[in-house]
Amino acid sequence: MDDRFLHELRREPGPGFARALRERLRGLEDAPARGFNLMPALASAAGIALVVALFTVPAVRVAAQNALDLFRVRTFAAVEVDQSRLDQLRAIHDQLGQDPASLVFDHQEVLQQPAQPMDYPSADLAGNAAGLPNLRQPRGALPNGLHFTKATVSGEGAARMSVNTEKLRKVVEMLGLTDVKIPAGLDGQQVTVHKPAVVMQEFEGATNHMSLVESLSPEVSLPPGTDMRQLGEIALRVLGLEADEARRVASSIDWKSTVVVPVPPTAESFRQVHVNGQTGLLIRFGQTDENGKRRKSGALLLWTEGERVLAMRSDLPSDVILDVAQSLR
Amino acid sequence: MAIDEGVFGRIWALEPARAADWDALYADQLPHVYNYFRYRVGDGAVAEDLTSLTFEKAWVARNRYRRDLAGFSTWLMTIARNVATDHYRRRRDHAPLDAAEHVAGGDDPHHLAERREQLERLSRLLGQLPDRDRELVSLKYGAELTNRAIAKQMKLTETNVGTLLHRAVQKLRADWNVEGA
Repeated sequence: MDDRFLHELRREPGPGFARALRERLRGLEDAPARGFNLMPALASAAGIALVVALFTVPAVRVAAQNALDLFRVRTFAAVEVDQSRLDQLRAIHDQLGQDPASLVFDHQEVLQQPAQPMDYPSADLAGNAAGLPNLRQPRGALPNGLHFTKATVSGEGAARMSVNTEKLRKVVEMLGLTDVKIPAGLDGQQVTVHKPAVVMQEFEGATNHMSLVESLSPEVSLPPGTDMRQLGEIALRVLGLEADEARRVASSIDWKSTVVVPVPPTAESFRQVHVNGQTGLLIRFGQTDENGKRRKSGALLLWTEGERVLAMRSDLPSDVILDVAQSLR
Repeated sequence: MAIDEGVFGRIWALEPARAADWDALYADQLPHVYNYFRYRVGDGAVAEDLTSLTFEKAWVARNRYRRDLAGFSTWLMTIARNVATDHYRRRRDHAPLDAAEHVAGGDDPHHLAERREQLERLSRLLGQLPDRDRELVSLKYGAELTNRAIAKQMKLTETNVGTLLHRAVQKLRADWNVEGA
């Protein structure tokens, strides 16, 4: 028995089978994609999908005692994630080769397919198209010669998914979290995510860029009575917190309105800030070369104003970004 | 580094594979995936079902696949391996390969019968291999991956893959000789 012999069990797929499968795939091509790409869609809505992109249900939590379990973004909290946990999560994502949402959910049903993103020559036009009149815009000259280039509207969408606890258990097992218990009765529960229209304004200068994202808050409807604090605790464990710390943090957060943002080790710092009287989260990033010399930096600012969620990202210094955010009208 | 690059760059950067590439990718990859399943699960009809499932999953997830077509086969094989794992989670028995059909052995009926018998024997022995060994053999001889690609898939070193494959084939040979004795 040699290598050649071992290869001899190979066989070309039957032409009938190959043809039928190709036809079936073509049928899928003609049909709309089974689900809109939930993660990037939400991500563009003010970066809030940083958590959602991990594990949507555990990350977006609603207090169990509320009859109507509806999540809306009002504030942000940061949780540091260490590199080894990020590597583990990436490995799981690569290994399973799936949309992060499908690591936990089954049967994504698109209730509203978002329209293709569309560019507009002015923020006002984009705001009107998105149903966001009086879009926040910088007043006066921007630093470093930044000027408005375009505004892109991503359409409104909605999807309904059901929880698959077997999948969630698998993820937890793959992370080695042997003490984490998945709540009974969660399997098959439905979660509905509504992503409002999002406007992203872009600004370019000779050496810098900036983007400003604005939308109404996405809403996540959960089954009444879901113990989301418990799920929040699992999410925090997934992000790498020890059991005691996860329990403590989970108890201190208003899960009905708080998005927990996992901050990667590449972040230089993060801090709570105030933008026009509202609490926000500012995360600074920096890259250094092999000699420790700073090569590139930037920041992400997340905050809410009333019903609206905003995010600003730029390679400008974080203080300058904060000043620009304060100047928005 | 922007937060999306730092945390979920891979996810956010995913773009649909170009439609024009899909036909070529399909034609190129179908035999590899199909034969991976033939070696992995044996039964031809099941191999066809699992191959279909793999391609359907890949197609549905195409919007999340990054425009790195060189990595397409790795991505597809990752999906295939997950499909195989799910299959075995539902059903533990390993069917022998349906090797008896379509045996290439020339026109000599005696030689043809002998060849068919040999392939049946090999497929039976393959079904008796430990799970990891069968996975290795399936990736090597079914999917025709290089040792480097197998190492990436199985999170092993290339040297380790070489060693484990060598042992798996040795075991097949030993079993072959015992059966033939």
